[in-house]
Amino acid sequence: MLYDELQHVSIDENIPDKVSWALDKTKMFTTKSLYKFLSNIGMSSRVAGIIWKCKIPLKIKFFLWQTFNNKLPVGLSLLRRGWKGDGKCCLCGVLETINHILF
Amino acid sequence: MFQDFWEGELDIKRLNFGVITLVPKVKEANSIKQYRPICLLNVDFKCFTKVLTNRLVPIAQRVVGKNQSGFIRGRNILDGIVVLHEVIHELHTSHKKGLVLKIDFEKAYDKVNWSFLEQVMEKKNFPQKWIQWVMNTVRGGKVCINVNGERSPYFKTFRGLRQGDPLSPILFNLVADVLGILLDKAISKGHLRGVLSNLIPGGISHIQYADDTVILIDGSDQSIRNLKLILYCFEWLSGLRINYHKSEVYVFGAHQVEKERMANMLNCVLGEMPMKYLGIPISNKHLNTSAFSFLPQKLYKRLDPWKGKHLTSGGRQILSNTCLSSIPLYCMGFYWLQDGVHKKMDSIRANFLWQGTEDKFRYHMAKWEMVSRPNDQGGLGIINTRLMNDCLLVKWIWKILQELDELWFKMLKSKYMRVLISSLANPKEGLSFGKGFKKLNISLSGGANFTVGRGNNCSFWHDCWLHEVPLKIYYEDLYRMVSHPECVVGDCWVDQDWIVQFRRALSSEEFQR
Repeated sequence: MLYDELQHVSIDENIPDKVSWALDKTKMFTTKSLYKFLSNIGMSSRVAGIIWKCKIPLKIKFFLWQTFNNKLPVGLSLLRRGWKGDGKCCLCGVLETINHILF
Repeated sequence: MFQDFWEGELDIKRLNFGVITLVPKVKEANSIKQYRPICLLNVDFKCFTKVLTNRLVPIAQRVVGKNQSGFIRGRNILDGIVVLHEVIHELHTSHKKGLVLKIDFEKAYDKVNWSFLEQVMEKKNFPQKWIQWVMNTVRGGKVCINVNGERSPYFKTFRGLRQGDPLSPILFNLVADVLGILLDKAISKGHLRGVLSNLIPGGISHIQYADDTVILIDGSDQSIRNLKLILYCFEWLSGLRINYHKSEVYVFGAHQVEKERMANMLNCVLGEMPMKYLGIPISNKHLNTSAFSFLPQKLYKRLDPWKGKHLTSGGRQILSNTCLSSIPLYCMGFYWLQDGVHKKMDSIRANFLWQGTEDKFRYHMAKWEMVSRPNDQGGLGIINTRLMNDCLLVKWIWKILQELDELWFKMLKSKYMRVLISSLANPKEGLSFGKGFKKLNISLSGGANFTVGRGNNCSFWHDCWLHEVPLKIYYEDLYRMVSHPECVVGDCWVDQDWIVQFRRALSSEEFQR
């Protein structure tokens, strides 16, 4: 198979190799396109597209990002990091989680 | 008005006035020397100079020597650095004698002699009309100085190109080019000898980026004496003054006593490696993490002024990306930074993102790995400097593949001989610039598609040329048996036929594949 395919091409000493860049429309190398390609780890998050495209203040976007990725500094996650507090909700005394506070 | 200007009837002098604003170079500047005089011209006048600039740019490419890498389209600031790096590396490894002189011009732009500029343009065969236009904009300008928001009375200037005029950088290149011409001429007459004439015919004598000049000569007494004469002549002609106290000499292949004698002859300080040229450290030895510690420090210093506590979380996100992440980019365009440097920079950026510049500890709620993912993949889109470093260096491979007619490329080509790409992939010891390339080839194959001609730049198994994926993935089983995995396409073409060598004879069904 490889051998057969190789039969279709031949080497010409007089023509230099040409190289084109497949990741950018202009076929010229751009650092941006390569960075995009390399940083793509193949998982896309559904909410991310909505959060960052929304026309809301950036700090709210940041907050939403924290919410959806469970990165808010709430009692439960702080306790896990060894925080010296009791991690209870100060209104009802239940363990503080994102779901408890926001919903 | 442009029509009038074209005909030379416009009294451009009435528009030609600028305000010099003093920008401090260092903190707490108290001497006039510590300020950078930036001349702000009014917009109407700038329209004219910009038009002139646009016309000059395509011509400057041809007129200005190859050793000048600043302010000319198609040349990069890093080009000169590549050359210097390779020269120093070569001098070090081959134990040749060589002298590197880094020249510092004193307030270079402000000291250019006008009549000298006019002569340069005449000698470079610019038409008389053009020279008239340019000299009209350069001459007869009036400036005033802005101190604490108050303007001094306007006064006339008698020399110097104004910083802030779009035309100035290119005109300055023309002036600086004369130094290059002087050196080249001295070499062709045999008064001087450049370094590494075995690599580049005639040797390399100088590298310039606007006024940052590095002169490279062999260390003989005759060359040094003649060089001094040339520099003196150039000073006298152009009006530029060389600051010998700030200029540094680096000597290779000589004893300490000999080195100091040479430095004394030139009246300069003997510098120590690593030298810094255009903000990038260059050394003959391997640069370790501490040589790059200036990068994290720079990040840290940048944080100081704004005091992160007044910013929202979103503001900190933006600032850590725009201000902090962009600082190391320039250096990463040249060196492959060690993991330790990346780690330090990451920790500074992470600290800023989560706790601002306060000393009070705050929890970092997400892993840095997650934060540095792109926005659409569940991250904050903060730049991953490790990845970016790879990408920026792949650009060099790309540039090498283009086989441009530039000094740095000729240099690399003659130094690493036959197959540039594969030799870059297996760099020799001590070549910090090429070190990263081995890994990078993998990244390159992500996007580069070859159309094979001569077949000397394209790796048979690692690059994409027959299919959209490299052959080593397409024919994975065959690749495991290959005897020369690093061979290029041209190597496998013998006597008008394809011969790929394997470690053992292939069975018939394997041959079918």
